[in-house]
Amino acid sequence: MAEKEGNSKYINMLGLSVLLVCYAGAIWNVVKSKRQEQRADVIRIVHWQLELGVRDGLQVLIDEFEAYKAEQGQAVEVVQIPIPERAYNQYVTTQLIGGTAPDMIQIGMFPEEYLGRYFYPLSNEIQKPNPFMNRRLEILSAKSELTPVEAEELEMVKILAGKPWMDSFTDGLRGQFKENFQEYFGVGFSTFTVRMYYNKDLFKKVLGHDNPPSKFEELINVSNAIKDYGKENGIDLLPIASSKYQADVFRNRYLAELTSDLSKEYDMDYSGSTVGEEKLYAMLRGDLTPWNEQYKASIELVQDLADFFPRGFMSMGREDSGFAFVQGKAGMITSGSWDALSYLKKIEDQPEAGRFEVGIFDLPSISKDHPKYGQFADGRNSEATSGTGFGFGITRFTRNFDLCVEFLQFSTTPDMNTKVNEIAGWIPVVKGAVPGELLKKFQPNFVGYQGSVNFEVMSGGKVRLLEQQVYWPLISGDSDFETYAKTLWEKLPAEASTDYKRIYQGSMESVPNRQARRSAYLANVVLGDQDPEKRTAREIQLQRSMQPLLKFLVTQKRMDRMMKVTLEQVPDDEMIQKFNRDFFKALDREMSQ
Amino acid sequence: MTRPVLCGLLFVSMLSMFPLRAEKPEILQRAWQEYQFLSMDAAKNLFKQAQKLDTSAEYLLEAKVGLAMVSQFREQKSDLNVAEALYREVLAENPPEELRDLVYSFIADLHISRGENEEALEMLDKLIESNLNSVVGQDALIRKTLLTMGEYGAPQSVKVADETETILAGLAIEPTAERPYLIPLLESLLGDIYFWSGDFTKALAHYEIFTTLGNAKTTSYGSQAGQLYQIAKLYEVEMEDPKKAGQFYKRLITEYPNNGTSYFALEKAVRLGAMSRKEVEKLRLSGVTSEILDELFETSKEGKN
Repeated sequence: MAEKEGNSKYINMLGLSVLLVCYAGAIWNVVKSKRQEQRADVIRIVHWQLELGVRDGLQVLIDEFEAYKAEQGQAVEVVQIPIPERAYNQYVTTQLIGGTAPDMIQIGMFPEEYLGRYFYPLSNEIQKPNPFMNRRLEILSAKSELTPVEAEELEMVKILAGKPWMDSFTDGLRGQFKENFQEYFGVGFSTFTVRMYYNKDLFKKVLGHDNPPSKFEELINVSNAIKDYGKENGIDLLPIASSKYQADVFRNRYLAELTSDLSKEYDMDYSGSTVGEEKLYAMLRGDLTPWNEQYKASIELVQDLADFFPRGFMSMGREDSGFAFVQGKAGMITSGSWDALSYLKKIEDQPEAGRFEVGIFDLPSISKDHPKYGQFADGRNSEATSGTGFGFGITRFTRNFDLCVEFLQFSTTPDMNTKVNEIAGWIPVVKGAVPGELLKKFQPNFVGYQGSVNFEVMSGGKVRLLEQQVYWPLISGDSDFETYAKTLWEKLPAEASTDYKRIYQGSMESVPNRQARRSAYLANVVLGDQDPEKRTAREIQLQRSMQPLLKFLVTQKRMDRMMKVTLEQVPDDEMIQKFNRDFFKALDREMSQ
Repeated sequence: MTRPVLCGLLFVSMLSMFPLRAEKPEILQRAWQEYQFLSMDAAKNLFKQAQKLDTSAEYLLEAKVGLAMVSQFREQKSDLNVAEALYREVLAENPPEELRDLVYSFIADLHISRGENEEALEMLDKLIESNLNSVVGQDALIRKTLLTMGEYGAPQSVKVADETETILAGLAIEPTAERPYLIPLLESLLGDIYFWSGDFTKALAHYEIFTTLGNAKTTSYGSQAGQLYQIAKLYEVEMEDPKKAGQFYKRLITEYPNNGTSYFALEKAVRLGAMSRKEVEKLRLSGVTSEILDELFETSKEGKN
């Protein structure tokens, strides 16, 4: 009995000590965080990139920056806070609304409106030269011997040193420009493209060589060869590892190759692309129906490819298909440059017999002489706008704005950009930065066209949902094209009317906030410092804030005009006339709600 | 000897008549910053605090304008009557001319919000007449055009655009690419009105000014690139002027290469004879290999034949 009591006493003591340790730990954390916050030289940076190498790459930048600042006699601490993708939006929202947000936040995964409310516009900063280019210039010029890479970098740095910071990015930092605010809110470190990864060893076994396919028909031939090889040798071998995610990559890419000319044709205001409502006008004119030959061809092409996907690919996740590829069970897989390092590491982790050499190639284009699709082939999809990603903005809650800018400037010289991307396995975006050997194949290719045509009236709207409902059964072989087309066409008017109304009325939703910003910038011109240069800068800021406001203010006028022009062109065809009747009946109902 | 001393004394006494502008109080600066971030409650508190400061009259007036603006432009719980009363108080204090016009501008907005278009137009006309050479007057001209133009394509829209054109002709300033004021915006709006009415000649004239006065810094990269594309298309399709079209496709690819339509523009510029092989090579566009260039220039020759 006494022994039991003794044991219980020990357990209680143990419990109490655990509790005390936890309590002390919690207090320590709070004190540490408070201390950090009180110090003016701590900046916190949050992002969602948990991919292999990214945190390490960023940490190298942080370490180098801290060392540089220490040399300057300033103790600086940069704290990296990685947050899982799923919790990112919630985390950022809570921190921003609560006024406790970190100094720098990776831009994305949260509503764009936050940028205007919680982030400093960086347009003025990025139009000034990056002072660290001069520092790099001095370092390189002082070297007695330069490697060929350094010599090339030196030439580039000489050009960039006096230029605006934004000009040192391969895309002029256009990827970080937000049209709706006409402002830059972020500075990015990397860019991303999609390619095909392939198992070189398997290619050699099956084909006798490891040359990647350069045309779509070659992709089909190679896939057939891998399929046959698997069958002949009794191996469970997939030509193309794929899930719904990858199937969509193929669909979007080839849809663009087959319909980019339609995108120019339906572009009523010569803006360079066909937006959702212009697709609807094309439907109302009878120009765009599911039976459109080019559109139909894009679906048949994905059906052709789906023959080489695993059975049940629709219920597989993106990770499952990646897993099949790294295990050597598939000849090819399509994915982005962001997966490169993870794939290589996972292949390296396989038992020796399971390891293989990976090659990269661009998704092969449809050639003009393809017997079935060649007549519609426009050429590859351009990557001219792939832009700068992995971008960070500075929140209004920071007490170290200048230090944050300095960190971003420090991180975007060619050598630093090379470093972070080399470790992350991503593609650099600063001119003069050198991509890793594997990543060279991912460099954005300017050649090609923009735009494609599908039935999506509003991004992520009701038509999209409807189309997805009928599209996947078709691709998986549970339905046929005629059923797909008929169902889509019959149900389109009702769903399109909802989307159209949302675009029409939604265009005015953000007007009050934009008017408030315009008033702020207008007052700023009149009430701010009247030094001519500073006043001009504020006038330009006013103009930039008014550009999107003006666009929204005339959206309904523009849509009304295009609709009027469209209705003058509706053909005397009962199928199209019925589509129009159904659409306007549904639209009347929508508008009266 | 006495003359320089007297001159010096005169200079000092003149300076004392026009005291140097005091630094804007920090509270007021913070208030405007909160306002720009649309944190209206915080801005309101700071403007109120600024009103209690022992500072110059102009900053106290500025704080009152700020308070009125919060009441007028806040998304929720706006109170136009409070805003109007505060604006009237500011006007009663005989503010400097540009501040007065700024207040008129916001009163015009207030009338528009209430649907009092006639009163709004009266105010906007006053601003256009008195202050067209500043962005306050130009902003008023943009709003007047929007308020009166009606639908795109309607005769009324063309009439209004013609009137706006006439007013713009009376500008006493010369906007430049370095200091464009709000003229690129007005030109773009006029271009759109004429475009939708089918008067492409007039639309092009205005759009072209947008691309010479505006640039990536003063307007934006995307809007400039988009505008050049639209001009090129108009010359090519509507005006049947391939030479001009080629020139604008060339400007698009040369000045704004990071654009989805750039390769299309490159092809067009080459096919329309606006670019030589050397000029294209100089651009060093990623992915544009010598094989692609061979094909591009070969096709362009065939097209000409």
